[in-house]
Amino acid sequence: MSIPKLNHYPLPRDAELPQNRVEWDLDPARAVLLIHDVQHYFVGFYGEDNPLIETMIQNIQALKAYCYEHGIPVYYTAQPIKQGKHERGLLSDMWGPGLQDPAQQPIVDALAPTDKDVVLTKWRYSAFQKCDFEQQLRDQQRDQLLIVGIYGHIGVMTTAVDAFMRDIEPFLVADAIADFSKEEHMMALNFVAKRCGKVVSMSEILGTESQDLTSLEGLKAHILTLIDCEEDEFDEHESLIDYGLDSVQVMNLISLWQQQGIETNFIELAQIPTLAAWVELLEERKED
Amino acid sequence: MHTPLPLTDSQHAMWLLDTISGRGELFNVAECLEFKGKISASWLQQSLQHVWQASDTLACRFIRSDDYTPQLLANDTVPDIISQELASDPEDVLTFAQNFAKPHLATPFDLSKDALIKLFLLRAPEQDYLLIVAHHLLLDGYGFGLFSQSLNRCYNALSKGKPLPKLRFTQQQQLLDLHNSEPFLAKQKQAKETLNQWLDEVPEVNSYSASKADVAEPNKRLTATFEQSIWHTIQSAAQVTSTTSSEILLAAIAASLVAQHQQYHVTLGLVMMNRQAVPELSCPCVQSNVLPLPLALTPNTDLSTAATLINSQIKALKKVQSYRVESLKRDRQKQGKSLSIIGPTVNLLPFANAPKYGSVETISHILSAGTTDDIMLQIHLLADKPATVDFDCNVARYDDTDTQNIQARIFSAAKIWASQPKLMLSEVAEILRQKYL
Repeated sequence: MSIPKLNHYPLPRDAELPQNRVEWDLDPARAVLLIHDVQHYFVGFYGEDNPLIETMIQNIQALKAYCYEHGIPVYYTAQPIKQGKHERGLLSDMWGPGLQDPAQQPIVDALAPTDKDVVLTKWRYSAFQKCDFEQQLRDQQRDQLLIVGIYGHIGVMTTAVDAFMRDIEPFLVADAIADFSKEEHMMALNFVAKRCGKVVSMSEILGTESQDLTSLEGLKAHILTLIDCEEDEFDEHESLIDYGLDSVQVMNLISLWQQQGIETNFIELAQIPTLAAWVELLEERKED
Repeated sequence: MHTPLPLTDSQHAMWLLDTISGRGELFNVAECLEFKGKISASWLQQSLQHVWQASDTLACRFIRSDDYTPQLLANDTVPDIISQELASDPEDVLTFAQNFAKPHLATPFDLSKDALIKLFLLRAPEQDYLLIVAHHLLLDGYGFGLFSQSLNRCYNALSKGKPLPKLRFTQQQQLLDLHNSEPFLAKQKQAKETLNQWLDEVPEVNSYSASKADVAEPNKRLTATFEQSIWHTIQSAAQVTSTTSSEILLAAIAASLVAQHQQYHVTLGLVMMNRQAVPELSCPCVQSNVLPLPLALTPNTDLSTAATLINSQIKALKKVQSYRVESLKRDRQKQGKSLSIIGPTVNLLPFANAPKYGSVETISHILSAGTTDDIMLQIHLLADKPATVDFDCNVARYDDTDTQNIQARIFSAAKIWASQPKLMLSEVAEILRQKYL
């Protein structure tokens, strides 16, 4: 009945994100960051050294730094230990007794709250339930909520739905969330993008450019990470097969292009195996 | 009058295997292209004619000279696509296609007389199916892909009322010129030395079976696909180790062998595309090779170390892939060394492609990739979708229970190690041993 042991999976790339229905712009003067349930207890189900959690934590750290820099208040949620039957309600039927060990209650060390941050007590899936979170936002005249943390399709998504119903614009940061599985992660993103909020990525918020794998420069930078060649020695008219690019790496590129709606295949790429020729082919396909 | 041409090393090796075995049917391969609708038989035949006539490595037969040297002789006759009506659409396309292909796979081609390909267009009320049976001497996996892609390009040109495309295939003489060039021969000589040196350092080569029984009947296949969530973890593990999912799968295969033999030096057989130069990449022919991939693993190896080692060994193998496995075995024999140079053979197939014929979508089913005397793992890597693995086994060495156990062990190894990349190989092997051996 407890939470299952959880595995890692790759966080979604920008090209995988669902299309948003709304065109909200994040405004630092209106926004608040909510770091959701990143307590030892919930993180523990991923096991030690879990790459998904390590990446999520790094991303949340970067986002938190950005929020400090732009005057965006930072909130946390944390569930209390040893909740009574009445306090925990139906959650007990679904998940068992929950958090019991005081050592498991704090936020993980890498994201430990500072004096500037506010930690809300979490009682139900939504951070707004049985708590004055909405009022705190109203008092600060803030009506945008950036949500990160765990678990994507449970508390994170439900908080987004609840925010929407309170006329607070929820922004889900797709690559600063972890979930039970990639399928459930994507389900949460799809639901929010289509029904109650906006799905954004770290690069979109931080203004860092994600690599354009169809441009000469973007593709070159990506390919240089896959082959043994220094940038100044690379010639875009030389065969990538001679540089050691292998068929499985080519297939991975094909699937990345596919996410951007560009169809290619291994055989046609192999017959013109230079970076320059590939970019030309990609340009043609974009026009199709 | 056409002049016969010599064969490339790969063609020669396949010709010899066919001739010496006296069982040419073992080298037949088959694929079924399922059209998700109806297509034009006439456009398809015109496309085949155009592709066929553009390549002398396709439009040929393999004759013997007076001194028994095999040669390639142009054969301009274009095979007819044999059309057959089906009363209803098959419920299970794969089983239907396998049953249809069975008698054709069991019939050897006459290398000196026949075109080495047969095509059947099976026309059901809702869908059409193109079944292709060919001899491995004509096409390998890449060659098959090149042939199919060209057929598709021509068909789509016809469907749009455009002129047929100019197909720039490399011809046999151009391929021979490349393979007889000094740099190519020097590379091959170096490859011979390197491969022999590698094998000298290999202690013992194990597979899943110790039996040496020959092939008596067609291989039996077990097909399994990874669960989506496990595949995501494998992809994530590949990211963490800066490799690809194929290295993670090879590490899992190695772990499954370590569990069985408790020998940490594992040697897999890896099917190499063996096409480096652009002319080779534009030639519909046979060129692939199977070479040893020796992996000096240790009990303390974690997934990252294993995947990185596999990655660097594959890179090293690419540099020596033009030296034929048959020549390597001959070298070992001459030196009085073991002929057992590869363990289970792995074929990584990232060529997945589902082209549209006009507006009709397609699904490709690989029915047979030839016969192996031991075990061959055909790993279909399908973009972001979970990999499917065909376990093709020599039934004289593996019964159904053996194959199921091997499949379960490898899939379990992939799940365990990808989930916990820091586990040491000895720990993964011990878990597998307790569960499966």
